[in-house]
Amino acid sequence: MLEISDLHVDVDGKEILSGINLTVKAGETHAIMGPNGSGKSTLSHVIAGREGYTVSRGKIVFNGKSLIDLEPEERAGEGVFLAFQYPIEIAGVNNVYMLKAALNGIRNYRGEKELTSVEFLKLVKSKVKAVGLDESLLNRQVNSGFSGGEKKRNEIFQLSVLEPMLAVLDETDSGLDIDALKAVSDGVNKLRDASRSFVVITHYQRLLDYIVPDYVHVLANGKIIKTGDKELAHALESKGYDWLTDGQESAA
Amino acid sequence: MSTNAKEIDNLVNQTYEAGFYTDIEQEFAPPGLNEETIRFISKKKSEPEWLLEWRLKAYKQFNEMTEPKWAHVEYPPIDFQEISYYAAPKSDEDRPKSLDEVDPKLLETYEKLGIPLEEQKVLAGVAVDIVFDSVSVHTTFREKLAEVGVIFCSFSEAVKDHPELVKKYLGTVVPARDNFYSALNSAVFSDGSFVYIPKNTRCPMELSTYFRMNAMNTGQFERTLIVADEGSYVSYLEGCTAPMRDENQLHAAVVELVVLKDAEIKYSTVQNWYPGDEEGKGGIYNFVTKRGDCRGDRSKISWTQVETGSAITWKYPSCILRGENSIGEFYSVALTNNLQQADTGTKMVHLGKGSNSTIISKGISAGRSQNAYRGLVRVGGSAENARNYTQCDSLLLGDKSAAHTFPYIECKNPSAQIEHEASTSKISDDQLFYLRSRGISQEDAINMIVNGFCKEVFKELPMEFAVEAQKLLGISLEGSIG
Amino acid sequence: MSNSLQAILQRLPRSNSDTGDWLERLRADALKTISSRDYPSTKEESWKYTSLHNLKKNDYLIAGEHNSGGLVKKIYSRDDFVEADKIHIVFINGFFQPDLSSDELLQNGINIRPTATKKADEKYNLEAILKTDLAETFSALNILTLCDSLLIEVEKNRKIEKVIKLIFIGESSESLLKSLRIIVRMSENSEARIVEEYRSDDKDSGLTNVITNLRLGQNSTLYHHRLQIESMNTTHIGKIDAQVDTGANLYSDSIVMGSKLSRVDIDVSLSGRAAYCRLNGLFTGINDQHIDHHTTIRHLVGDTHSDELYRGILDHNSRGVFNGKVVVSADAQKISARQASNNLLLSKLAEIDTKPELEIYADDVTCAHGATVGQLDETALFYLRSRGISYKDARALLIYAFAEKVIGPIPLPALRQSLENKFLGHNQMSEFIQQG
Repeated sequence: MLEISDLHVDVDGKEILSGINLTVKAGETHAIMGPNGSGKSTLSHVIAGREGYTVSRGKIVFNGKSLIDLEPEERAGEGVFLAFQYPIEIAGVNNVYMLKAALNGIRNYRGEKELTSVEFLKLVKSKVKAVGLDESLLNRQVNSGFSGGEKKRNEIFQLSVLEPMLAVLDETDSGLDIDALKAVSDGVNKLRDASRSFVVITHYQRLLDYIVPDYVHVLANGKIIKTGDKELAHALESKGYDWLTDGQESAA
Repeated sequence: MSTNAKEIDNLVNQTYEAGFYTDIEQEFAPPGLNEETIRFISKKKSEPEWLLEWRLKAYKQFNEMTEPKWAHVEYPPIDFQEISYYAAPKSDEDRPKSLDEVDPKLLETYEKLGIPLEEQKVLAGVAVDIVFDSVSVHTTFREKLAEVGVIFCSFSEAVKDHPELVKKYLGTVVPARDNFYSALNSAVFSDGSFVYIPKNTRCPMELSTYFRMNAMNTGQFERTLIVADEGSYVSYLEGCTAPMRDENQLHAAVVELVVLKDAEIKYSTVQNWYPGDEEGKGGIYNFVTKRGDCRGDRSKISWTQVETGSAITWKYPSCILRGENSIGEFYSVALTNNLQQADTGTKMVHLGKGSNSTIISKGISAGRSQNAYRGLVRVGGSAENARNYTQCDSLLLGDKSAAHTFPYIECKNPSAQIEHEASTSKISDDQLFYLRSRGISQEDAINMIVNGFCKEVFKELPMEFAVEAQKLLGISLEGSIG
Repeated sequence: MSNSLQAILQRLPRSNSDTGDWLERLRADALKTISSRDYPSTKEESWKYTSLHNLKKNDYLIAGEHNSGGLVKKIYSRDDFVEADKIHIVFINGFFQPDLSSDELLQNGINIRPTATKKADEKYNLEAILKTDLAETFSALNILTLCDSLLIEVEKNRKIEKVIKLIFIGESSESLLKSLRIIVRMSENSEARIVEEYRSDDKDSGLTNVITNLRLGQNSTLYHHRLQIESMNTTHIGKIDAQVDTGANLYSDSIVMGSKLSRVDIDVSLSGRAAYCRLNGLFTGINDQHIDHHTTIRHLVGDTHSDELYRGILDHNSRGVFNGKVVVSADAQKISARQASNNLLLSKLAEIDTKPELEIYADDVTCAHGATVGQLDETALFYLRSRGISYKDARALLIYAFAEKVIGPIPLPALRQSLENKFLGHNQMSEFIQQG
């Protein structure tokens, strides 16, 4: 589904990612872990098409199609979703209205018929229950005045409505207490199936107890330096990142 | 950032759709401003002697005044002798008795503008007065309104049919000498709308006036007077358009609102005078004095304006909060683009105990435009427990535009609570990226954000005007309003 | 021209040199300004709320060696001014008092010249600074009637540990016009803390006209605290003109409690990237005091930042004026500017006029300002009293709490303490607090 090969990315002339290789097949969940400043968030932003990042070398191919020259909304249309580490507040814009515009934007992109308001509301009602989002948040302004946990839940709610093929979760666990973390993970797990893939970016192993990954990659200094299964996450939890990054330096 | 700039340009650079000109036979006063001009206008309108005297006195005062220079706008000097102060469709000689008698070309004009002039628009429930250049050409639903005692007619008719009311209230809110342009208006005003709502009457429909400036080299100087007697309510809408021309045209209107005890006037404006072209050529100079006087206890005035047109806007719809617990509100969206200049805001003068005012102003500057909010909140010593809340936000689209905020706060009463908040920002890249990553196109995302920015004001507009306002801003309001 | 200004001009000392040097040229320009302009009138936007009517009626003597300028200092001794860890510099009636000031004016990386503008001495390179804004009446008057002036230069990479305290005392029963000039040059990467204090005895009825020029070189930091507690019969006209270069930080406070009429203009230009200024102000008016601050912060280039907080407390029939302007120049992107004006009215006859302005010509900016006018919180007052605190003390406490937002961040404990005492201790301010 997603194939990233030899990806080099600069920000303001400084190289942040230096040759990432990552293949995610349908139905797989990959965790990307790494110390602060290793390039984890950069990777998520580059997949979603944020401005300000220059791909100097390499490819990002999604279902056989290169993503690099696509606009963010086109990538969404292709089936990519990024759950933001810090969901953005937009004053004056109704949460549900924005989501309807998004869903119909994606449907238009795919040449599908737009949903009517009635159809859409029905869909929303069913999803909101599944994610356990407080219904009163639906008609509030986008993320305005939401608590940290509500914002993250709202991201997962959007994920459930937009039903992407690939969801990138950027530090979705940051700032969540244990109950919120469980609720959010629960929402994600309900959405896991054989055709949908997840890339879970996190600093801590904690989240991976709830969203159990098939693979764990360690990102450091812009490269994936180690790949393993969920046991690798436990090793990182007990030993920290240094044993890996130190090793890398001496090897280099 | 520059990738957004083009989209923003596309969004705000919509062409002026009301820019056509109607070829219709008209009668003009020769250009020039002198006593003769004033006598000509007064005679044309068969005015009583007292009104002619009133005009001539205003003209004297005008001659003693100088053009105000304090606004944050620039324009070449206006030659007041080159302007024609009266232009009327010929058919006015023989006023239409019903819509069938109105020049079909005029009807066509208003149809193009989408104004509900025809009787079939009963369902819309809006009574309309149409002011074409200098004169009112048609007022709908007059009979229906008369049933409940509401007077809604052109100013000239009011002078003939209700002289006692006009005499009693004319110039009592905006005296001729108030400022340079109000003095000019008082001397040469041609027509406008007059509304009287009797005691304890809720006006059964929205009242609406459409102003259209058609003729070349004319100025438009209309005068609106609305009186809401004790315990009454009226919602009044005003819309404005003009053809595209290379010359600048002057529009210097005066609007006076008188609100007595327990009465309320809601006054909404969508101002879309021709703004000039991309290089700033042509366009209307919109120098308007609007003021309401809350004379009685618990009286209320609510101004809502969406200002997208005019080359220059100089306009401060104000409230004198004289009555105890009287309420003044001002909701404004002002969008400037290309080389437009706007200096607009409000004055809230608190005199009555417990008087309360709210100001919500949203400025959007695009292109190379200048957009200034100028507001005054004055609390007099007598205004115990007066309250004001002001919020004044500016959104900048593109790096060549400018946004300014000049709020004057003058407080002489220790029990007053005044709060003023202002912010200036651009559309955030984070917000744009967030919406786009959800599958929303850049243009729609910008629309959505601008729309959200203006929401607090749009929700104050009557539904139909809200739709028109949204159209004007090029923004889809679906689902976001109401 | 008003009689008062005319009288001052007639009393101008005759030029003691006709050498045509630059200082003389500036004086000639200044004279032109004064001859063509009177004192500013309320018709001018920036003087809309402040009338100089009383100033025009007054007849001022120019402070000089020949009048009381040098006479009264005998009542002071140096010990009156010494404070631990401070360099103090004392001026009386406009003139530097070496006997009363610290000895250490020329050491540890700083160079303090109390009389630098006496001559058109090229080595101090003052022409560019002194000629700023000569088109304005008080600036022109300043250079024409200048008493002593002070140049402070802090060397490159020096952090001056001792606080430099400048004390300007008015001591005369005559109405003296005292024109003063303070020039502070912070070299690259230097740091200093300066207190400017203006005070006078009760009988003083003079006019202080002072200009402070602050020049902050790259990456320098200056804490500048201006305290004006002159007596109630005086008039005080102050001006701060500051330029803040790349990476430099200016923290400037203006605290005004004194004078019948006080006007302070502060104009800060942030002229290099990452330049920052914080302007804080606190003013308290009693009786018929009139206190006016006009501040302008100019973001001339991108990536410059500012914070501003002014708080006014007005009792009796006093009047406060605050005009805070933030200007962002075209193409100055990535700007943040925050401004707040909060005011407390304690009496029915007090008045505040505040105008927080924004003029913005760039788009990538985050600017916010706020203004409030209110009174003491009755609920808080009741809460304190229900806990057993007297009305008087509770009121004082709440007023102090309001002022604390400005006093709290002052990094000089002694100054902070003395201000706190003015609000909560037993002196003039405590009487002020007891009113109402």
